[in-house]
Amino acid sequence: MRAAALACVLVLCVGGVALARATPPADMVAVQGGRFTPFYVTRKAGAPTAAVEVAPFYIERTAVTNRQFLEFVKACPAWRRSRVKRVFAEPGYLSSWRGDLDVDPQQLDAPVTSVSWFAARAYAAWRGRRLPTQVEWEYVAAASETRPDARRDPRFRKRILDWYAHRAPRLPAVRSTFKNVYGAWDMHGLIWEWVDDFNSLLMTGESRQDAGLDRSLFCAAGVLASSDAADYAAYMRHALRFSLQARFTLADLGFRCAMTPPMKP
Amino acid sequence: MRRRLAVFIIIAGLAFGCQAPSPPPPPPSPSASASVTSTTALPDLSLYHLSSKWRTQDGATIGLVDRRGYVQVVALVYASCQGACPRLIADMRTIEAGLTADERNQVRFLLVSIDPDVDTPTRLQALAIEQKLGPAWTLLNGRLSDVQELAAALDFKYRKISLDQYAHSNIITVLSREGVVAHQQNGLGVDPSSSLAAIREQLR
Repeated sequence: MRAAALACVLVLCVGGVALARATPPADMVAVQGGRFTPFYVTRKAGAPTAAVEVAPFYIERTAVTNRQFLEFVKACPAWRRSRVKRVFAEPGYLSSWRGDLDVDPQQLDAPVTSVSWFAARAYAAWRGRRLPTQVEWEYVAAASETRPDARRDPRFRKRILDWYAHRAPRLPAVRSTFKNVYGAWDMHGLIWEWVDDFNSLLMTGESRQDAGLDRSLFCAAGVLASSDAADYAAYMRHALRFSLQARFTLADLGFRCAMTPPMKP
Repeated sequence: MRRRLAVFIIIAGLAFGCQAPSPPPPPPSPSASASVTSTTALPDLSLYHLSSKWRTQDGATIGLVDRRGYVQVVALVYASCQGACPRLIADMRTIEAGLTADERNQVRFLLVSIDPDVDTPTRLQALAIEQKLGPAWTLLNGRLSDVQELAAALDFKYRKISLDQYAHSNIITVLSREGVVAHQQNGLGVDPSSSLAAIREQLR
């Protein structure tokens, strides 16, 4: 009898673990996480490495589409183009749409863009999700089709920079570039994406003579340094994030949602 | 044997029962969206559209809109900051001292903690006493995501760089009586005259 009880507990535990790993919602993938050296690191005196531990998380397979965002604004009128408060979204908000609830049918499966950070957060909360943090997003973006961390692969870098250099005049649908090893589509090549902590970057002036000014603009910012000066694509993404304000909208800036896996009861 | 089978079925049922279909999405909760009815008279650019709730150093619960009508001077800081925050607060006190008594009646000072887990209302009360902040000063503790939202609205950048240290911008913001950003002062030890001019402009 005790053996049977033990066996049942074992089944439950193994089943529980399997479920914890394997039950992201159908439109998300589970990312186990691990150690990761982000592009901007906190350089502490004597510390040999600036790797951080990325906890497991779920991330959406594709960027949020116009179709999905349309459902959101139907449900939440305060986020419709004609009603949104300017403090939450600048005038370019959803400018590619034809009306508050009117999207060109050919654009329904393209990623939604011209959305502000506030709008992206509101959508994520409506879905019971959140935006990925910068580190989470970069962790997933480091992956190519076959390798979890392809950041130092010169061919992967070149593909990304080529995408950045040549943007299609009209946004194609999601799933039109590449699927990485985690199952996430279009982390590069389609749009820039909002992250939850986009305002966590403190970059100072390039010029050495700004040094005194820099120290007064930011408290303790001098401890941030780039971990890989050759990763120009990462530099561009970070520079973009630094330049953003929460109410800004850009024609090639959208987002996807993330989620912290629920704790097993 | 039958009993073992029953136990197994029950446990298997429990295990698969955990895989319930996802519940319908919750109603939108970020404060950014919940502001339509009571604040329709506010200008479109007012930060008081953020309906987040905050606890003051005195333990009261307020919304940002509760200071509507006053010109507010705002900064985001944290209590254990050794570097810039004390100087930022000193700069705000310099602004306060530069106002006439009459002007001071119409201006309020707001410090919002970016470290709410540590900067409880009690800790903020201690900070107010340490820094000799008078009754025109309110220190706020809020939910992390509300702090993030307010910071983003103020174009304030910050990041946690260790267990008890943050890197952050040094900004003092002047809000109009209606909560619209009227002026921002960047840096430390900045001459208060442009902030004072902005305050006077808003008091007219």
